[in-house]
Amino acid sequence: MDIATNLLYFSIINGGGIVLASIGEWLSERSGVLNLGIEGLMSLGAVTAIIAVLSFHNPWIALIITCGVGAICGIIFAICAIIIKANQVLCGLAFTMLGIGIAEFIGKPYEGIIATEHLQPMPIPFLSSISTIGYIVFSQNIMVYLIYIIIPLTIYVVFFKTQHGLNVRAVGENPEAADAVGVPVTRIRFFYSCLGTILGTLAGGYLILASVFTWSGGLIAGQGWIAIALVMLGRYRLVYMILSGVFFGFITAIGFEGQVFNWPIPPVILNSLLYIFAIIFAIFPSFLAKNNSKKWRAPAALCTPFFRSNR
Amino acid sequence: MQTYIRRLSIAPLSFVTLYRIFVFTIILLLCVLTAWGYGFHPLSLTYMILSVSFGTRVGLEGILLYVTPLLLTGAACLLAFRLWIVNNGAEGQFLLGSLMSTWVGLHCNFSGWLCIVLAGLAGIAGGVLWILVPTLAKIYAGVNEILTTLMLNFIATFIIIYCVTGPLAGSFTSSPIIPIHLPLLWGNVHIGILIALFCVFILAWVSTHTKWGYELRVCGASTQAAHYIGLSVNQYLFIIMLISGGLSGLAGMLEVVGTVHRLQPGISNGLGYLGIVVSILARNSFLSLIPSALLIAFILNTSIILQTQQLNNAITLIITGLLLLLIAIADELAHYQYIKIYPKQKEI
Repeated sequence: MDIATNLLYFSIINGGGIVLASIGEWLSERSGVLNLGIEGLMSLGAVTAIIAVLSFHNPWIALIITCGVGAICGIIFAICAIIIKANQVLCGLAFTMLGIGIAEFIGKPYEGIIATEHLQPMPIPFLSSISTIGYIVFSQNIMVYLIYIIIPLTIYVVFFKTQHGLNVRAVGENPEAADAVGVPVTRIRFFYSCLGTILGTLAGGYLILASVFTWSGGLIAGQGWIAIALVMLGRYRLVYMILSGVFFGFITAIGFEGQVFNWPIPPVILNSLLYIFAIIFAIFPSFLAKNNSKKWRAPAALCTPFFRSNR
Repeated sequence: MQTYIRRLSIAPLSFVTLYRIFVFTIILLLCVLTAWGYGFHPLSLTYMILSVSFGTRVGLEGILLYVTPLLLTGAACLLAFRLWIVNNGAEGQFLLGSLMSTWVGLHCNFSGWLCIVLAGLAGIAGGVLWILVPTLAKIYAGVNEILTTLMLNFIATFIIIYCVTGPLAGSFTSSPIIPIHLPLLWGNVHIGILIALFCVFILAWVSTHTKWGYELRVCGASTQAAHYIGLSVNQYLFIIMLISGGLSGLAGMLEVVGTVHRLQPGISNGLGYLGIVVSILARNSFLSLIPSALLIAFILNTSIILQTQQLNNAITLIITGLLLLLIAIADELAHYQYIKIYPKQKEI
């Protein structure tokens, strides 16, 4: 297998974590809740996955336990940010600190241990026999198909083809109006921010089980923040989010390969490539999208708590 | 008699104080309980922490050494909060400031004060340089500063690692010891704490007693009102963000020249991120930065004492994260007032 094919194969695997987390963030932001805690949740998910896979020797049980931890975190976050209506930015930053802190605290004894079991590749019959593309796209593990195809399609259908999706988008844009026609604003925000945290936690578990296999303190290192950036870079469109997620996976893969094969690029640049591109991607599209900014903007009620008494 | 819960638009100070005392008690209890769970005797551990922190000279010096950078990074974040900017990049600005001042310190041929002043200016320049890109992006393209400032932190970390293993390499993963030192005040406590306090007092005075500070508060309160009276909000945004970066850079310089005397990868130790917590605790007042910085410094000092007892140092992150979360909740709950309405007595 030549280097380019390998790069693309790993860029799809590595991008999966970022894409999954950004889909979670998207769900939560669409219902009007800004969750800045994805970084901490991903760390927590990664630690949970490595501990679970070392004790149960089954990646799927590990993923389910990770989901459970995500649900607990989501309920705590939703109680703080939606029921009590505390400042969402502060809650998110607090969750980042708490998540990273707890992950480092719990994960200390597990640092450097390689996961015994990981997600096995599951080639799709016929399609995987196409020479290069078959290897890159159709010989991945099940989670990759879930992340790139099944979850986005489901979300697209639910959000843009059903009445319920219209309600959720209305809650994100104008909760007062939604409340006036009888949409349960708090319930919808609670559910979707919980779902968002579950996906964010699952992203950390996915990284452990599909691409990295070991836990170390700096494993997540800003990928959660890149996932949040991705929602803004993708301008709240799932397709763009997925494409730019693959791009960031590609950058991560370049960083790995460059160090493994000793490319003549200093490791500082290789390491910080991900963050440099995140900044460039954050700044550059804003200039392009200025003239049709109405089409590309964030949900109007993002980060504003809903008080029924203020209606 | 009927009872209502009413939400006030501005939380009364008494409520906020009450809720915060409650939060501190909860966190203290949680810490004691966790320590108990890990097999320590809670009372003796608490006594040990308190006696080492406040009873010994090393403990007090440690607290004062932590207060110095925390005051500056806290002031940086608080100043940015005045215009509703979240300066997440204090960590990166801190690192760049320390890097630039180390470079000046190692290459400076003059002696004494001039070199220290030059290092200070270099530190401020490093911080300003590191916030320049997010500032320009914020003003000209409306890019959210939370993410751009944060991404630069990671890049700064890698640059520091590169510098201490390459151009500025000294002994094992740190730069050589720099020849300049800040004058010492008391034990290891250097003059930096006076500089930090001076910065805080100046900011407090400027923001409450000058025309510029008043206009700044107008810009923060309402962009439309500021436009209406002819203030350029972007100009204030630019100046505020650069000052914010400069303060963080100065904190980095003081840490290198005053405390550590060499550049090493872990020099920032999360002090930049803790600046956000300090500024949230200070609740929009520069003078109350001092008690909140003291509190966080106490927590940091405690974590060092706990490390000598074989407890993980990630516990600092957990405590500060929990503090931030509970403070956010408490500040919201302080808005609610419980009122009783008595029905009118029928007049006979």
